[in-house]
Amino acid sequence: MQGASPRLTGFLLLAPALVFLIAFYLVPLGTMVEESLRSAPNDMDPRAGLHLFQYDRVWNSGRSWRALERTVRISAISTLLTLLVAYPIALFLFQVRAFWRTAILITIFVSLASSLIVRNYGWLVTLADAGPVNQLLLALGIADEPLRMVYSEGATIVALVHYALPFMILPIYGALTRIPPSFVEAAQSLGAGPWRALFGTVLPLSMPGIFGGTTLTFAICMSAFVTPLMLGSPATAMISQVAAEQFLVQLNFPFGSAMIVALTLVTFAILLAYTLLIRAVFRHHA
Amino acid sequence: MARLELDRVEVTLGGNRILHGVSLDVADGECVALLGPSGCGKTTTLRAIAGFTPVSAGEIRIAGRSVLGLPPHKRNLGLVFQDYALFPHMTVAQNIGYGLRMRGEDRASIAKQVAEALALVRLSDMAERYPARLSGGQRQRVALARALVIKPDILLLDEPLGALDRKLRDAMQVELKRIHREVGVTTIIVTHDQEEALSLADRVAVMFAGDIREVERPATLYARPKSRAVMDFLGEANLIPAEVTADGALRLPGGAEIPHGGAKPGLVRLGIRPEHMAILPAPGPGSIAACVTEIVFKGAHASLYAEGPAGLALSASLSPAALEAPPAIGETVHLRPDPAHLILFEEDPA
Amino acid sequence: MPDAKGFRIVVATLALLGLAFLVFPVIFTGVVAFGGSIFIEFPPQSLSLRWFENIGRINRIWDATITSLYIGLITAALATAMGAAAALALVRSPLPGKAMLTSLLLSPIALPIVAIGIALIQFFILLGMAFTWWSLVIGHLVLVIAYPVRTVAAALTLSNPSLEEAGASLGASPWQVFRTVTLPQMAPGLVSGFLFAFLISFDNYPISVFLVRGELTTLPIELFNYISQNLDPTPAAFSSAYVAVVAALILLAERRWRIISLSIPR
Repeated sequence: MQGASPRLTGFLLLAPALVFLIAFYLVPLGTMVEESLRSAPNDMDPRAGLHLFQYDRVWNSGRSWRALERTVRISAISTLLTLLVAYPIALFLFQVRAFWRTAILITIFVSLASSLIVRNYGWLVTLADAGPVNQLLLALGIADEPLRMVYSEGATIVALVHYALPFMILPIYGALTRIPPSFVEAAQSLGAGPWRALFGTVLPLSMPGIFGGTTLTFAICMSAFVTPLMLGSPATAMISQVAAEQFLVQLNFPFGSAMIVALTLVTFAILLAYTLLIRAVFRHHA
Repeated sequence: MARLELDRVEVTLGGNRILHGVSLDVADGECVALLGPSGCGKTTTLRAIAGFTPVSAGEIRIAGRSVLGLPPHKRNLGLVFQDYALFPHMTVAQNIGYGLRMRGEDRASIAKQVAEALALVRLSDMAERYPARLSGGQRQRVALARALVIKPDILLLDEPLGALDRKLRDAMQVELKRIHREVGVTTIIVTHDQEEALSLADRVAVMFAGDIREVERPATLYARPKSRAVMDFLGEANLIPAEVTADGALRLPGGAEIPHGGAKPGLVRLGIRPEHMAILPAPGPGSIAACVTEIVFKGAHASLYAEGPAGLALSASLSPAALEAPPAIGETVHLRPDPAHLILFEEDPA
Repeated sequence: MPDAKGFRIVVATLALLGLAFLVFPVIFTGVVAFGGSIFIEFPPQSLSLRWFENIGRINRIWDATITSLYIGLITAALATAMGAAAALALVRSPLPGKAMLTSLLLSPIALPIVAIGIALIQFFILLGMAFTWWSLVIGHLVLVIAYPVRTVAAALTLSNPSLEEAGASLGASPWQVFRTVTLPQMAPGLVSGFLFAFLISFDNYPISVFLVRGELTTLPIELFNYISQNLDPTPAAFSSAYVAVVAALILLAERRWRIISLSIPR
């Protein structure tokens, strides 16, 4: 861009997206936070003042507190499982020939681009009473009668891992491609076997990818809504569901808003602590 | 084709002065190389001529007219980038025809000129290939054809051979000379490779720290550099501290004296190329005793490295004949600078 | 990478198990879709195409699909135009506060997705434009604008900036350089950004559920409702068709524009 002022050109290019996000994203979010600080539902009187009353309710009402706690637990377990499933796939992608690499990447992309509802439905089918997993368990004699697997916390976690998998594989694979091959060769020339090279060299060097993938996965799981709605039950509700109820059923907007703000703050706090921890452990790497 | 004049060109980027008043006059059809270590400002000079880097003071004229007010696309220059910058989404023919299309020429005329340009760089059978499927040398020639086909006033080459391996580089040097002779366009070559500069250019401008130190024909520049820095930068050089005595002789380290007229008494530096250092088995008039530290075989000749008085590093060329029975490492030899090729530099204050 | 035989076999086994985990639900769904039973049953005892025919019986499926298509296309077009312009500015212009602007543009994907729907419904009620077609486009646009920003920025970062200087040196005006050099370099980013923006809007439930009422409905809303109220395999038939179309789109985009390499984080 060789204009009179590249800076002005840049600003004009950025302006539409920026103005749009300020008007329909930052301002509504601000309105939502303000709403959450109002004491009673539909209280639009500006003189009513702002309170932390709704946040007090989030902490002290059994259902919302349990949902928040469950959300953190499900997200942590799902993130760990996703990492365990994703890492060998990322390593494998790195090892195979170009043709298979492209084929696997396309599979991952199709999965990523397929409807979330469709994918969750796939788990409803797979884990159904007469579904393939139950058939397999019966055939192997592990179970005597079909197990009830759907509409549970376990089914939710399985579907979340499935949903988050591409978001974990791609950053780790990206990080692996950036490791200079000479590093691994150096480790091997110094006598490290493949397992030593993996845990001593490859794993620490792929840490940026692991960090990126786990952060993204955790954030995705914390905000999960459709998945627990389809594969869980009211007894295993995550916080987004409970908040949505306040809007769609109870019509208590301030309480629902408070739950979502609390969810955002908790997610942010956990990710911040995680970032600081990773930085402290790997500070001598960067 | 045109004359290019740089008149005290200054470039300041982000508060740093990159060019400190560069002046250069390139005649119509001449080929000048800008040679210097990395960071000396040679690429900045090229970009200032091309119009990609704003000039803060001074003047750049092409064919007598100032071009400072013109944006890059109106300067009519042919630029060959270090990484060639071939458009990956266009074939070789489309790449070469790009500049002509931008000038709104008709299809038939573009096709004819592209074919001529392809013939000039000997790539006629590659017209429909995409750059990704060309070798390094072929890409280089496409970039050259693309820059030449627009009949530029000046051709600017940024490290043209830098990305090629040794053998290809030698072949391309010959090729570039042939093309320059056939086309006859005024050319500026930016390079850090002195062999490239000395072999391609009619004149070489040596740059240090944002300044042109010397502009000379390659042979003169090599044989009679005007500054110690240029002598040191180009090829191998002995720089020997010496003293001009009151009676007009040069006193060398170790005490030997060479008669010399015309210099003021005081400390000087003697510059002498290794090929002008005679290796004597016994002390002779004007020789320096030195202990052989290393002998390195270099193909056409060999280099002898030795340590003179007070740790002075010296070097001399060994002829193939002398290499039959070379001096041993640790042996003392006597090195005598040929007075006809001695260059006197004033001793730097530092 | 480390390459001893035993090591490779272990990695390959674990990876293939993981990939099986990724694709099996889709395969099972495909198999069930062709079953004849009124309930989900595996393996199917009889074969039939009746569930594919039954897709048309999903409540207001055609209306909802048309609405979702329109909203998806308009959202993706707007997101790609605005996002690409923003990416161009972020990669190529000397702007202050780039890091902050980038995080703002990318932040909607990181926020709890329900938050966008919740924030917007309250905002639209205040503005008096709740439950309209445009409110849905705006809601989706907030979410998806980050995708073209990311993919176009990746495409621009991968392309060689001296290409644009080469264009200028050959006599192309800034506009000609943009049209003949920059735009073709952005193409893979534009295609993959548009594709993902469209697919994410077309599939969105958590934002739409707050913004639809009465006559206004979208495909995911109706599909979700059907799944929660019926146990027959019609959604399996629908899902199989959906995945087939998505796979075809991705294959096409990859063959023509090599979009995949853009989405591997660097």
